[in-house]
Amino acid sequence: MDILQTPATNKPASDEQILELLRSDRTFERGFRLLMSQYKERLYWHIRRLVLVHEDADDVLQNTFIKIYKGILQFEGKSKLYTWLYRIATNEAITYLQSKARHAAASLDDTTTLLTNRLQADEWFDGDEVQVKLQKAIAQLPEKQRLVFNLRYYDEMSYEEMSAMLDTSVGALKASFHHAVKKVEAVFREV
Amino acid sequence: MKPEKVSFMKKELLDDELKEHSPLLRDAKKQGDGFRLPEGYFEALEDAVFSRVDSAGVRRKPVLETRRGGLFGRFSRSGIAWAAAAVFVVVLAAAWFFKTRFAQPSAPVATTQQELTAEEIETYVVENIQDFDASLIAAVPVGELVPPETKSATPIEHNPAASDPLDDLSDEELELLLKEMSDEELENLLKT
Repeated sequence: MDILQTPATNKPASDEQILELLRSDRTFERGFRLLMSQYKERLYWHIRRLVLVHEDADDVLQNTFIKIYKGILQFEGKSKLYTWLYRIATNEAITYLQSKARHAAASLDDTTTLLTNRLQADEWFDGDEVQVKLQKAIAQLPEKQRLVFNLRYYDEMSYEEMSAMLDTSVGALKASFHHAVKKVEAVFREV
Repeated sequence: MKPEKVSFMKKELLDDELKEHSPLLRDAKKQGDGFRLPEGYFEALEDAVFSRVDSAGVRRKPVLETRRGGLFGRFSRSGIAWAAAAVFVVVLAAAWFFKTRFAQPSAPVATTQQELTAEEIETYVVENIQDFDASLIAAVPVGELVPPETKSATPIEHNPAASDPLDDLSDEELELLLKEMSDEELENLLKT
């Protein structure tokens, strides 16, 4: 069936339909807009929970989409599209946090404090005491553990999907998540 | 299997997992995370991204699809434009060729001669004298080859070959005039 002649419906476009539009110069922009509308919310929340502050999340998300715009034709389809998109978004967010930490010449502890302080100052965060405590506890996790925790706890990604995205075995991811849960809970109780 | 059902199952599995490992975090999750968004953020995001794509100068230009089939469908627009320009040049060249080849050569020359004054023709000939054939120049009366500036610098009344007022005087009148003239005046008259 020709995608271009399909009448507009509320049904979300499949990855295959998006990729087909992206393959032609004539329909590239339409395909890219479709990709953004399909994934912008999921990618935003994934990024937001890593960088915490809306302004930073917006910046990182836009950078992510520009990277995707430039590189989408190199996507070979060996993995699922959303896996590839998540990977780019994750790399962008981590690079952003690292550059922030470098800029502030901060240690991990300092970076955690920096993040949570910024979160509390963010006008787009109105969490109560419990929610602030939880974010502080998550922010204290090492980078990879924090990523695994967020993907599972907030994005509710399956271990198989996480395995494809992070190139890590399902067993290692399960262990990492459980370990992270225990740490967060311990800090959560302390704070 | 429907995606909604898959999502529900994932949630259920996570819920079971948290129930087993951390009931505290399970309860905390139900309270939400406190993150908010500016109103209309996602609606404006696409244009914001395209604006940055434009600023970075990496925007892909949509290519117009060429028509398939038909006489002109096989060619691009620029190809047709070049062909049209070539046809125009050929038609123009052909028109010029036939006009110059079959037109009567004497007619425009005659018209030109009629439009030019004698002085203009003379100026042209003098200025281009070196381009003329020697035999043609030889056939022209000598007086007509004098450059115009020379002629204008030589007033007619001073030309000895032209009519001299002294010629109109009788011998008596001339003799009387000569007697009245000083030597200096006479000298001047001879010089001219």
